[in-house]
Amino acid sequence: MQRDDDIINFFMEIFILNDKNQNFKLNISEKSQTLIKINIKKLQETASWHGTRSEINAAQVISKLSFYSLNMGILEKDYIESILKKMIESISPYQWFSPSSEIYGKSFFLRSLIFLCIADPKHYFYDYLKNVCEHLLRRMEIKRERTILSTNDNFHLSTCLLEQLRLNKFVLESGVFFNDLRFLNAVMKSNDRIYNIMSKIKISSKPTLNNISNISIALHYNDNLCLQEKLYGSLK
Amino acid sequence: MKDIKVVISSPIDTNLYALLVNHLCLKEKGVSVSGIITLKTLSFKRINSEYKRIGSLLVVKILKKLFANNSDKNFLSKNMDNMISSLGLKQKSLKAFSDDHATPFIKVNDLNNFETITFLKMCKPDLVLSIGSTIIRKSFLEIPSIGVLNVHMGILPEYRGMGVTEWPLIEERANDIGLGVTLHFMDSGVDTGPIIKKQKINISDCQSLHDLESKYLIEMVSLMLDGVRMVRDKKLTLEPQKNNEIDMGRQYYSTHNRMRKLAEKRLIMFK
Repeated sequence: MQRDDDIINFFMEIFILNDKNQNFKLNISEKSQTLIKINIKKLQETASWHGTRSEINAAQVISKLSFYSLNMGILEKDYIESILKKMIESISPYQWFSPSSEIYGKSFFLRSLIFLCIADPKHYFYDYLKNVCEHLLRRMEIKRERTILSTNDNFHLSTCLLEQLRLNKFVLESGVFFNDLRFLNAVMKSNDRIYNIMSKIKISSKPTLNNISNISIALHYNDNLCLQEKLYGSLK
Repeated sequence: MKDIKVVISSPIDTNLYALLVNHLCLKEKGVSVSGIITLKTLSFKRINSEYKRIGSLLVVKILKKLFANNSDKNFLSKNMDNMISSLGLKQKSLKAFSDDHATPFIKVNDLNNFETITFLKMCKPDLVLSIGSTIIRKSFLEIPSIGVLNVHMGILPEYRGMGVTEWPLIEERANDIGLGVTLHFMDSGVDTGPIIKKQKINISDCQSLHDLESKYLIEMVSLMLDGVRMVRDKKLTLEPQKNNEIDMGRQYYSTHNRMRKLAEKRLIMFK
């Protein structure tokens, strides 16, 4: 099924992970932006988190695009906001992490929402996001899954790990934003649960997709641990 | 006046809190214990859920439970020792109580299964005293004529859920909200039922979380008995948890070991 196996995707994610690139803006021509918007509009017509396979795929693509756009300045912030606003109208907070719902790709969407809320703490998305966070926290704490995505659902282990690490980063960012230590506590436990798999990951200098995927996982984990320790350290 | 009939539901047969509550209920005028329910220690469901919660530490926990004479031995402080001897508590298990007083007794895999519900209906209780409660479903909650009492180890509605002895310390709200226990009726939510009474705990003389927890035990026993007396004397006053209060009262979850250490550090600093 789904897998984070796109080489460009890996590089964009790794690029965004680096704090030094926070203010980086990709120089995209107006013509290219218009083309991207036309494609997004087409995707938007069918995108749904609880529809058919192709409708879910469309929602996942929009999520990724929104996240990269916000972080790399591909499209205007207002435009992304309008897309996200439309998309959240079709999904209530409790549906986000219900057992039957598709999870893959939601980390990008949620990280886009938190990105906008951090920039404007009185943002329209504030209450909605708070509600979604509560549901995610409950799912993480009660189910205590190693990864929310399961390899039983035909997801590759690297995809499950990456999505979990992205969600963990989102939970940490939400903890800071909402000033709520329950989120840090949940991520500390989640990172512990993943540790056994992480310690077995091997990285080499081979330019294979698997190796690049492992590097991306390791960098995400490291990024999460750095933020986790920074937050925990600030409590003492 | 007719005695009020009480059923005690405990997570294990040797739970000290349940033993004390049972012992004191038996001494109380106008109160009769009409049944005791305990969970089987080694059911697959329980092991599985505990494993998910604490991982490999479960092995240590099981060994402790199997080889200790009294599972709560480590939990006892000097105060508790004194309390137990002054109360004359001799029985070391609920089964022993049941044998001595011919009280109906059952060990079950799940508090919400058919076996438990059938037993409970047979006991016809006015009150169920829930010790170390798990989620109790509507089919169970509807049986007692008055309700299911629970003492929550935190101040409600602010601190619902688990780890609530540590969370006010971690969040540095021990001064503001305080640490303590809350007597309430159970409903199908997580600690959302109407509040009967709150009791704050003085933590200034606690050297560790271990000390704090044994203080909690004393207060929980005393508050549960207060609840039984209030029901018997028809002096109950309920403070419903309004919807907006529940929303405001966050649900908390078990703390990571390092968070627990932080709570302990803050407890010592609190003095």
